[in-house]
Amino acid sequence: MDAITGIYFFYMFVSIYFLSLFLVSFIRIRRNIYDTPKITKKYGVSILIPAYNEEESIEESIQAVRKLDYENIREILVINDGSTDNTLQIAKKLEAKIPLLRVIDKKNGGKADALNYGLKQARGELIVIVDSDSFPDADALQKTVGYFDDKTVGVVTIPILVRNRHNLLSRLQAIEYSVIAFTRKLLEPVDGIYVTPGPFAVYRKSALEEVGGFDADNITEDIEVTWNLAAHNYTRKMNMCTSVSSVAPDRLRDWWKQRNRWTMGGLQTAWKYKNRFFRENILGYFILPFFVFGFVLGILGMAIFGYLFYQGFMKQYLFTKFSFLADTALVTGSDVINFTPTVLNYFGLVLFGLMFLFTLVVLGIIESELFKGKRFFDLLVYLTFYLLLGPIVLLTATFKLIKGDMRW
Amino acid sequence: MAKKKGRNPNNVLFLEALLMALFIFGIGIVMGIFIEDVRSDRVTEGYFDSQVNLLDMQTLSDLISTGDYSCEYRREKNIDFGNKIYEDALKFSEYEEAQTFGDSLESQHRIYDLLRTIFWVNSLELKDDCGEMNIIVYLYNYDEKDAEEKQKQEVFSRFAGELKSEMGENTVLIPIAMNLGIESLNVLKESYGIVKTSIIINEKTVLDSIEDLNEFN
Repeated sequence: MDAITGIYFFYMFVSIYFLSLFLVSFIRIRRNIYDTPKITKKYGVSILIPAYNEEESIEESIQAVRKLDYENIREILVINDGSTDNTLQIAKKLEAKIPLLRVIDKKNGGKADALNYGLKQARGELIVIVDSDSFPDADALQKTVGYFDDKTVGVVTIPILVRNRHNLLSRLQAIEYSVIAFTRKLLEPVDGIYVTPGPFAVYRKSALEEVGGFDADNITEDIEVTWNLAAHNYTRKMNMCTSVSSVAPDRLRDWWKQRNRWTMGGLQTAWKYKNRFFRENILGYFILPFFVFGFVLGILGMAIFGYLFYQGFMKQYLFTKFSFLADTALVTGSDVINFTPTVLNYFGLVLFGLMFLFTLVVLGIIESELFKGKRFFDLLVYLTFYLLLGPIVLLTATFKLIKGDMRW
Repeated sequence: MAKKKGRNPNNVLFLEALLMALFIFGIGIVMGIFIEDVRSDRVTEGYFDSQVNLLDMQTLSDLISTGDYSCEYRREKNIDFGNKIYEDALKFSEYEEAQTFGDSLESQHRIYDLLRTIFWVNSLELKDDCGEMNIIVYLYNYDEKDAEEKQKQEVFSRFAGELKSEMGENTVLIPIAMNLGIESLNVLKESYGIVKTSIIINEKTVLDSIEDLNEFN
């Protein structure tokens, strides 16, 4: 067996391991996936909406937050982070109509800075962060606060669903977001939730203060703060009973920028917590290795794929060239008849089947419209093409980080 | 700070997942070895089959001198046998390339090549006795490592197959790996001056370059 075959088997094993982890986790929590803790205390809640140039969505976002069905909302703070469009004016206009709404205007300093600014002024025991292009369900808060009776809970997040599904790219992200939401729930039993994303997350204010708030130097403050909470032994929960819809990039260029930002932020966070590797708690023993190995495997896989692709290409090129020179056929019937799959082909096929099944089950659970229209085609594109883009993003983000280019 | 938690009771899930993954992966490996064993057995069976057929052919040749068997009959059997070992060669080379776990099939291949060499000599004798038969011999290197040479060999192999179809029913194509240390084959190679991948057509024409193939076309 050569080195590449060995690496291939290692990849197979890692993939089978994580599918197994998700399966045993699912078996463990299958009856409680949609359980919501009862509300025993009406925690005071402050809602923070950081906004930078969001004139198109800010009003709808504020209206969605306003409709949240919860009795003890102390305030809705819109922090305008030096927008250069009409975000501030729109928010100000709404401020006059909505009693709980307060608009804070500050110089542009980035999302984390805006959140820290709002955090200082917030009075609630719980802090809800809602992105200014996101729209939580009315019951999102009511079904989430009960988690905080457990004093170890630092943050609770909910599934993010893609609101705009008018083109293939956004529909692929819809599938991706659903799979992410479900796998995040499956990581909950092992305390492995590694990000509580910006569209909607409820934090315990004292926990946020204890960890020093959001890291303004990090371009993905949501990943960093989640790891920070994990480092301080706060558990992170996922509430599947409600959801928040958000606008996903519908142009490849925007998608590319977003993914680069996520990846660069993740790498930045991993670097920050590097000394925790295989130490102390779940951050060091699972989250950090999970992320770092994922990164290494992604890059290595990309390199091997590139090498094999080059080899295959050269082989085909030489064969075509010689066939042309010798005037022989390029393809014959016996090529097809005598094709003999290797064990690696079988492994790959089985793994693809398992992933297909997993995604199908997840979508069946989370999204009821699975078999309607183009969804089956979308699913195939998602598994055969879209997922392969991940390592490419990984490669470019790493390259940018090495160059010290923090733009995205 | 949140209270330091004790060991998470759900950490056992990591272990359960590991056991499950080992089980699934193990089944995959065992099945893989089984599939390759089946293929290897087929190659071995094919060898025995060919060996019996070749002995049968030789016995038939001996009978010719004593009995009343026509050249037509001998030629027909020879060509059938030639076709069979050519198809086997294509199939077994695919099996060999698909081998992941098992040992190389080199020893089986060597025996096969010896059989094909005997078959070549047998066919030459038959042609002397009965005439009206085309013999194409394709000589190549087993397990060629050089990528360019390997692709050249693929083209030679395809060319030989096409030539066989063009030359009609009375044609046998005998592919033989020439680098497995078969002495009788080495003697034959020397007699034709063969040093690299070549196609010998009716003991007269030797094609050993891509340009030769083109010119012959």
